[in-house]
Amino acid sequence: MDGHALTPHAGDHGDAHAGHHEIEIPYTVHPRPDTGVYNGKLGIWLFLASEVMLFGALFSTLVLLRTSAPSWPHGKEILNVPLATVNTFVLIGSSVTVILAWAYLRLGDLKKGKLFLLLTLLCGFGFLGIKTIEYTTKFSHHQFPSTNNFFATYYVMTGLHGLHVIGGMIVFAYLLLTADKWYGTKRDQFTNRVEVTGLYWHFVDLVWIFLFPILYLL
Amino acid sequence: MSSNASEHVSHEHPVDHGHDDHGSVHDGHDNSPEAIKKEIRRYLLVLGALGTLTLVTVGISRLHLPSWEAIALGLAVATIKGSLVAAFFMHLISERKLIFGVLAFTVFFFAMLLWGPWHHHYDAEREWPGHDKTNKPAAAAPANQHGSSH
Amino acid sequence: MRARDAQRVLEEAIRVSEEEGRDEGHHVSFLRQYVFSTDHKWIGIQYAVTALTFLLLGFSMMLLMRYQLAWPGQPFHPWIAKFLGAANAPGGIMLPEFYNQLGAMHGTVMVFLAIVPLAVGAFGNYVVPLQIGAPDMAFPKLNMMSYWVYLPGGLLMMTGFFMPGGAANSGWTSYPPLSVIATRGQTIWILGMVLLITSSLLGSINFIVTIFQLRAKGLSFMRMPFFVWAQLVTSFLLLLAFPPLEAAAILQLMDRVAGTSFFMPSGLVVSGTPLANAGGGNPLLWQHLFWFLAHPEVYVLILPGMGIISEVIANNTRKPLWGYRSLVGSGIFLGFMSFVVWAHHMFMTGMGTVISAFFQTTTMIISIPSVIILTALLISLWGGSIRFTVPMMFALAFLPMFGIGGLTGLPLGLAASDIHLHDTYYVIGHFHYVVAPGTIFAMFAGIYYWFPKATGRNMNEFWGKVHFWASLIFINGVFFPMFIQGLAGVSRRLYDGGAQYAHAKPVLHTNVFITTSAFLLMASQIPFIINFFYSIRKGKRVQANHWHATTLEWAATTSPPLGHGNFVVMPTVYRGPYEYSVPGHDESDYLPQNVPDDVHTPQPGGGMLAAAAVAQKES
Repeated sequence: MDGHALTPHAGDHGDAHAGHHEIEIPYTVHPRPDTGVYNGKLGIWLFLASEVMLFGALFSTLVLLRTSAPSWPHGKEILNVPLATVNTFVLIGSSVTVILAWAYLRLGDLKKGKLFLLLTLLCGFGFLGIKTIEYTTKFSHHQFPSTNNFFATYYVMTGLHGLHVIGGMIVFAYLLLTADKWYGTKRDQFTNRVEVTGLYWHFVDLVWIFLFPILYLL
Repeated sequence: MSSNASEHVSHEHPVDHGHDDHGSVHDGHDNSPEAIKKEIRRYLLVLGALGTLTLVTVGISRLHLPSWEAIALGLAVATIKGSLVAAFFMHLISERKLIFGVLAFTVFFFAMLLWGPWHHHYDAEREWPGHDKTNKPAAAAPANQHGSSH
Repeated sequence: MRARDAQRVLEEAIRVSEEEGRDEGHHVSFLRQYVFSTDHKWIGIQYAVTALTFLLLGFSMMLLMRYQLAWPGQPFHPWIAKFLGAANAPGGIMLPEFYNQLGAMHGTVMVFLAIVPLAVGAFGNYVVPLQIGAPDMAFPKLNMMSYWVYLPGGLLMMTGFFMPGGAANSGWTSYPPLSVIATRGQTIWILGMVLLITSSLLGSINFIVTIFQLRAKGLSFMRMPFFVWAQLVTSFLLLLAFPPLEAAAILQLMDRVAGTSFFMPSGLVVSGTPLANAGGGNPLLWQHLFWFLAHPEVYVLILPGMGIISEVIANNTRKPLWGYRSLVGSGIFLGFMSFVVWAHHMFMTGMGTVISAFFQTTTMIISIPSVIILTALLISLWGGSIRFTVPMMFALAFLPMFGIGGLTGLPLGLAASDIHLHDTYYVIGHFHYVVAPGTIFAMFAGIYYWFPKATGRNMNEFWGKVHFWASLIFINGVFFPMFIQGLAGVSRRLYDGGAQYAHAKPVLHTNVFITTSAFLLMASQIPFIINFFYSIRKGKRVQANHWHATTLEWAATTSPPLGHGNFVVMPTVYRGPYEYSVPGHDESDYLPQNVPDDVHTPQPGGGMLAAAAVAQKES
């Protein structure tokens, strides 16, 4: 008697481990009817909720330090607004490319999907490149985190955001490298992973959408 | 390439869980080519809106408004942009109540976190004005010397 | 379908499954099976062993401190003196600096390395998937990573003791500016916390997704055991409350190593030398960000324990829990409120009346759901056929002990009385009552209760009762006098236990009483440790559903094999979690969740026979 015949599974049957029986976790790929989501999507939204609280603490820091300070410089007088504006377009652009990648993967177009994933990755590099220029210019003017709290908050907030950009880029690189292998055998699961990474990436974009005016323009 | 989505999809699912052909909403999304193409058009529209609003934000900052108005307006525009990203790129507008619920609580706790330390200082200042007036940074960074120190 | 046939079917299924396990066993390396396991049961055991070790370690740190408090300036036994070394205890006499390290690390180890990993990582991981009828957690690899970030984080924390200047010594609360100018051990503390918070985050995501997505057929939310609800709320607390501390830790790290002034006000002078940083920072900012986590953290400490107690009480009264919906509602409300009370830890920091009133109000409100939960558990005893098993004794003791802990929190939650009690031993007494005879007793109850599930053997009942009575007596001996000391005004974190203050003189002698009780409490754990390890191999073998319980974990085989899912037959749930003594069902005094209504069989094998019978019928 095969007890596993009654195991509910809605996941793909990958070729994965010949001879080694792996536990099948339900709803890895297809959504559970009553919750309406598949596991990874719920997982990433929960993670994003925690990230809201992480950046929230930094915004809280900024609010307190800025409102209680006797004086606080204006971002637009010290920081490079044109460069940051370009960066804003770059990041928004990368948000569009990643969702286009996902759309094309769902259409069955692996080539376009990979192209847009690559574009997303390149936008990420662009963003980091501009950030590097910003930082190194400031360092050369002896403007460090220790200089004052304006710079401390600027560096920590954009720095943590930058780390998140790097994290996303690593995942995109991984997806690009494994796309050919996965798309053949586990198409839906791969497409879901792109969706989930895309959600993360949109959040990174969202944080910047708030960081840009708050740090640079006000 | 993109035309035979249905064949691709049903081909990849040897185990059939009552999975009908293309366009099924079994994964929460309509996967028919027409629907996806419509989505793509919508994404590009949102992109346009976001680009425009970014320029608007920069434009507002050049108006030299008094600080509270500037902050309020800047945040308002950022909120609109953020909402567009959340609603359309992240599909929140059609997402399930469960996710919405989690986010609603998160937003509330986020607000508490922003309020707490600030209000502590504000309330203490109201009760004991000048209570931390000696807490000044050692040397204020010069605002601009030759324009901006980029 | 006769019971005999069903039994045969089931035994065959188990045999096949175990054979498969053995055959494929040699395909999985030892590393994959036992070190980097992705099976929630083994990960739960890894967490349990690690957490219990840290618990012992944290307790030992406290015993060193208590020795100093009872006999200030007296040297330790030469062996201990040699172990501590001249840097910490020259001539065997503890240095105040070392006392501070022990104090900070005792709190950190107990909260972050022992209790939460035990309550959530061990019990949560092992039991939750079984109780919801799932094959494993939603993300088994993430689960494995959670453990393997926790262990290095904990070990990293402990290396602080070997740093020049020793371990973190600014309290488990790490308040700046002191923590910013403290020795290198504090940086280790921060880095350790980052790892622990990451582990916790991964775990909480896993738990929430698992509970939402992997519940068995028929297991609606209102049919879930309260233990699962408790873990769900706990996971939300961990998910949303930890990140602000992670951010704050980064900021403190920046202050320490990058010279920023997030928390450093201007004009600080250390040992006559003005500090060279920019200043303008706010130490209270750290307190807000820290307590924003640390208050929900205390509910993380208690909720899983309440969950365990609920299971044990229902099982050992042979009747359903009273007020299941109240329990669930209170648990959720408690979780929500825990986010809006944090500044009651800061009443003495110069808060204006408005903000102070806000936090006093929310704090008073949050006592209500706690009381509802306690009351519901208490009322659950009424009319029950109480079995005084070892888990039940710990559960029964939990009720008044948590009651004392909770009630003593009330004067702390009101600013007026808090003025006298803040930072005194009263606070230490209060929170230890909720965590020590509170949560730790719940942990013991859980260990005795689920031991047969994990091992197929029961722990020795006699020694379990010895463990219980001795622990109960001595734990009260340790913590009750602290209320008296606190009311007399003895401050906490004093190296000499208050000897320098005239107002402490009348209560100083209680230090000896407390310390003696603490040592006896440690001795009381010896029968438990021996019993635990002995019973794994030599304990009395018992049947699969030894306690005749209704919840799903008892429908799985004993000690389900690793890497092969949990249930021979995936369960379907037909009723609520506590159907004991069901009127009209006379064959037995319990009806497992997964037994269909139309099957009437005697229940020694738990629901498995009936479930197998149904499976056979349906196949």
